[in-house]
Amino acid sequence: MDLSLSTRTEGGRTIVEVGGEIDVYTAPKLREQLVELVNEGQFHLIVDMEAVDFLDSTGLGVLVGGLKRVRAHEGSLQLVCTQERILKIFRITGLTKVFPIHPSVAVAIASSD
Amino acid sequence: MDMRWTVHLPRDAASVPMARRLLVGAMETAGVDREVAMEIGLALSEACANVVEHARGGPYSEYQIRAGITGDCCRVEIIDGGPGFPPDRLRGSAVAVGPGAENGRGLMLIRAMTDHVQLSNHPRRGAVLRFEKTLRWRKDALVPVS
Repeated sequence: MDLSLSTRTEGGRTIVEVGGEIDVYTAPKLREQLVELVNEGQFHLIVDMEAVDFLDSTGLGVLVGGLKRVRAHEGSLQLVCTQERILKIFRITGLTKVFPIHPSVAVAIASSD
Repeated sequence: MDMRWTVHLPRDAASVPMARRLLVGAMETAGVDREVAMEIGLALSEACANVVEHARGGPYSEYQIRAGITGDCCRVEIIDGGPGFPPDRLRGSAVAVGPGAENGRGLMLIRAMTDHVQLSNHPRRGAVLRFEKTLRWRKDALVPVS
């Protein structure tokens, strides 16, 4: 299994749906995708991680990098995740304090300004 | 039943998912509980990513993974041929990772996923990261557990 990425616009936000494995091998693809969106002027991102099977610290680094990029444009980066195995990784690394994490895309959109 | 594997891999990012799938697959085939196997897979991925990222540019092009199950304990060693860990790392100094940092969370995750972690340098050359974890077995495990 590799990494799958797809983007769409909903409720004025850009949803990035990520699936598969995010690790040192695939994380550069996610980084490129986030950089491309910011370059296109899309600064309010929701990364949907419900189909992610594996996440490592390289993936976390890419998400933190994405957050810094959108914040430089007064933007936002929110996550959608309900998988305990993935949530645990955010908790261990203290990143639950850095990213707003929502149970669904609808909730993420509703909670946006 | 005791089992041991040794895998030699090219020092390339593509080796990391390969190593993880091999080890997680072997664990699951032996009957290790899936969550435990996935935690070992994450610890291994972090250790391998460290080899691929930090030992960059050296003349050596391979690294080695030695994994084994003895009773209820899984031991994994990741051995590279690079310059070794810097002395402050070996002394166990905690590396401060700010919320905005894009690196430095790997060892934190290895420690959280396993029971015991040891960093050392090979007497001749290279870094050795060892970790251990107590296993849980599925009810239908192939390996009879004493």
